[in-house]
Parts: sequence; structure tokens; C-alpha cells
Amino acid sequence: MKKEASLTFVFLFALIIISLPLISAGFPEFWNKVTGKVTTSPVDLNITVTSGSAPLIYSVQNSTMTDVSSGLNEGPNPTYITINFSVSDTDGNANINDSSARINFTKTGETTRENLTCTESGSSGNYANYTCNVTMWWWDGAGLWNITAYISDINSNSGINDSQKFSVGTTAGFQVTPSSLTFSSISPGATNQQATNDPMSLNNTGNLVRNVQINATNLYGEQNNVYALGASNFSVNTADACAGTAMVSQTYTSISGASLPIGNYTINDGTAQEQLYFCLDSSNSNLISQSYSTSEAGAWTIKIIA
Amino acid sequence: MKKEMIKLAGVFGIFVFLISAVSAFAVSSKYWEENPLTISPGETIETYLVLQNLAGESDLTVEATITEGNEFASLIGDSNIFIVPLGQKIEVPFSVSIPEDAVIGDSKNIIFSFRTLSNPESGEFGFGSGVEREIPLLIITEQKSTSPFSWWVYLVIVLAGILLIFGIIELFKKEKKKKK
Repeated sequence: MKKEASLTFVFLFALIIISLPLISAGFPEFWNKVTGKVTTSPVDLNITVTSGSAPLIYSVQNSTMTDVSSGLNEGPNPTYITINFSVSDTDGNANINDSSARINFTKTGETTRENLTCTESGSSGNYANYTCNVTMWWWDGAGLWNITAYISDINSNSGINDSQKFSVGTTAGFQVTPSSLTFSSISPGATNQQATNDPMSLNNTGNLVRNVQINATNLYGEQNNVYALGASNFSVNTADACAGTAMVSQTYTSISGASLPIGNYTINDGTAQEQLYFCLDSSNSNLISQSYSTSEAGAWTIKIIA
Repeated sequence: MKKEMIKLAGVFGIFVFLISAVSAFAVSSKYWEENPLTISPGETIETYLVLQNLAGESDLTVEATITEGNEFASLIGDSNIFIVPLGQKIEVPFSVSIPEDAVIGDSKNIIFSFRTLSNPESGEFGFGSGVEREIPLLIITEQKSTSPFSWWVYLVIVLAGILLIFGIIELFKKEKKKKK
């Protein structure tokens, strides 16, 4: 009798040990299962009776989809992503409603990207493959995106697969326009001379928020390079005014207040854009009449940083 | 005197700021703050950044320099100057080597600075573009099994399974005896 009791104990012990990993919702749920007690809350049920078996999306091929783990195309170029998924239906592939095949990419805080008209790319027996083209844009956020594929059959049975994810990398980029800025003629010792066709517009063509720095150089005389307009004579401003951030020769200087948020700059309403105004705050009074340029000291560089 | 000043002002240089048409380029990476490059002590990893020239108007000549992290990161190849044809992307390969005595859990940064190279012509006030990219590194222990369970979990499961089988056999024996 004792032996039988101990065997029963061992059996029950083993059963509990094996069951432990299977209990995912913790002891309360486990207890409720044992006692049969259910939580009480009203539930709306919508039961649709259909015929036949539901299609099964058994594979979403994220491993062969367009790789964007190293970043999307810089703006204004879209990134076209091709992705395939495979479906089985025990009622035969003819039972699958091809026009219902769709896929979407989602990420918290991001606009859903989708293709509602995936096309059948091959079928045989109970199986069919579908190809989807989804367009993503340069401002879509970096990180893991969820993939949800959907299909239904002609009896309104549906199948969903949301088990796969893919990674979007980061892109830091920008575009500068216009292509040239002009200053009117000045006299030696002139002050507060603004560029005549600024602002210079910067567009964020990536998916990272950036700040702006400028590396300035002196402008040496083209005929007599003993004379120069120093980089420190210039300032750059986000407002249409002089006395902005003073430039420093051969040094990257952060432009106060200048930043490039992410977004669709092509709307051209200020989204993901920054404007810079250039001013010659002062000029030396001993300058001689000639052209001054960056051809000797090198171009100024506008740089985006984190 | 007044007449001389006006003359001087009249002939003083006209500044023209010229940028090479639409200036644009981008640098892409699979690593960022929330997704650092993970590496173990004593390990060397070769990876890359991507230069894009999809929004400009001509081929780009880009100079790449590592401004932080030179002690463990270096560009691969003979030159740090890259030509990026219009409408294309190119990879900029680099390697990262972490010493054996690196501390697990430490994080480091590599900062790359890219700038377009241009030769301003006479009379121009030229502008170039630059992009700075930060690649975060995280020192981790050597990556081994990707199994989510420890070895002792498997041991417990195996032992429990043996006990279960043993229990079932004993029960069958008892049942047989009862029937007899």
C-alpha cells in the first residue's frame, strides 16, 4: 500500500514538473483551470458559419524580401519592397480568393505601409504563392517592423500570419538648395550685408533627427591673396537677420537653433526642413577692390550631426 | 573724396556663392543607438556603412575619416576617398577589433565623418556637404547557444520524463496484477 502511494506521488510529481513550462499565465490561471473557475466578464460573440477549411498562410518569406536593414533610400526616393508569402488550402488553390491577398508593415508610432493588391505568383494543388510590393519612405522609422499577411477564400474563411518581422536601418542625409547664393557689391568696412537670395533650404532626406554645423573658411583675394575676408566676418542665422552664429575659420560650428526633424519635406511647408540665412556682419576697412572666393582655402561645409 | 568712395563701392567685389547644383548625399547604417554593434573581447568584426547618391545631380567624391574610436576601428582598403556615382549606393567597409581585456557591458562609440570634396572655381564661394555618423558598440560575452533554456531545465525535464515513464509502467503492472 505504501509502495503504491509513493509511486503515485512520484507520478504526480513528474507530471507537475513537466507541466510547469507549459503554464505560461502563472498560478492564478493555473488554479482557475484546476478548479474550473472562470473569470466573469461579458463577451460579445460574432459567429459566422462558413463552409470548407480556412486558407493557411504557412510561410512569409522575410528572409528573401528586399533588405532594408542598412537603411531606406534617401529622399525623395521611395523604397520598393518585394515580399512573398505562401498559402495552403485543403479545398484546393482554386478555392483561394486571390484578390484578397494583402500585406502590411506596422510599427508603433509609424504610418502603416501596405499593399492591398498582392498578386498570385504561382499555384499548384493545394498551394499558392503571392508577391506583394510595399512602398516605404525615407522618413519611416528605424527598428523592427511587424509583417501581417492576410488572405481569404471564396467561402469567406480567412487566414492571417503575423509571426514575422524585419529590420529597417538608419539613414542620415540632407539636400541643400538653392544651388547658389549671391551678395551685392559692398564697400570696405561694410556691415550687415545679407545674401540676396537666401535662405538656403536644407531638407532631411533620412530618418534621423539631425543638427547642423558649418565649417567656414576665409575668402582670399583672387588677385592678391594678402587680403582676405575672414570666416569670422560671417554669421549664419535661422532667422532672416544678421548677428547669427558667428563662423570660425576651419572649425565646425553648431548653428544655433538649426535642426532637421524627420518627415516628408516634399510637402514644402517646413516639415523636415531648415532655412539658413547668411550675413557678412562686418568687413575689414583695408580691403582692396577685387573678388574674394573660397578657391584657395576650400569650400565651406554644411554638416549634419546627431 | 565722396566721389572716390562711391567709385570704390561700385567696383568692390561681387560675391557669388556657388554650390554644386543641388548638393545631397546620405549615409546609412544597420547600427544605431537602440541597435548597437555587439562584439566580444578579442573579436574582430568587418562590417560597412552605405553612402547614397540618389538625390544629387552628379557623381560625388566623398572623404571618410574616423574622428572617434580610431584605437579599435579602421577603414578597410587603401583609400579613404570614395566615388559615389549618381543614382547609386556604395559600401564603406570598416573593421572593429576589441582587445581581450575589454570589459563586458562597456559601450563605446565610433564616429565617422564624411564630406564631399569639391574644387571651387575661381570667383566661387563653394559649399560642400558633410554627414557625421555615430556607430555605438556594446561589449558582450561570447555568443554561444541561442537556446532560451539553461542546461538544468533540460536535466529536470529529462528526469521528470524518466520518472513519468517509470510511474506509468508501475501502474500498468498494478493493473495487470489486479486483473489476475
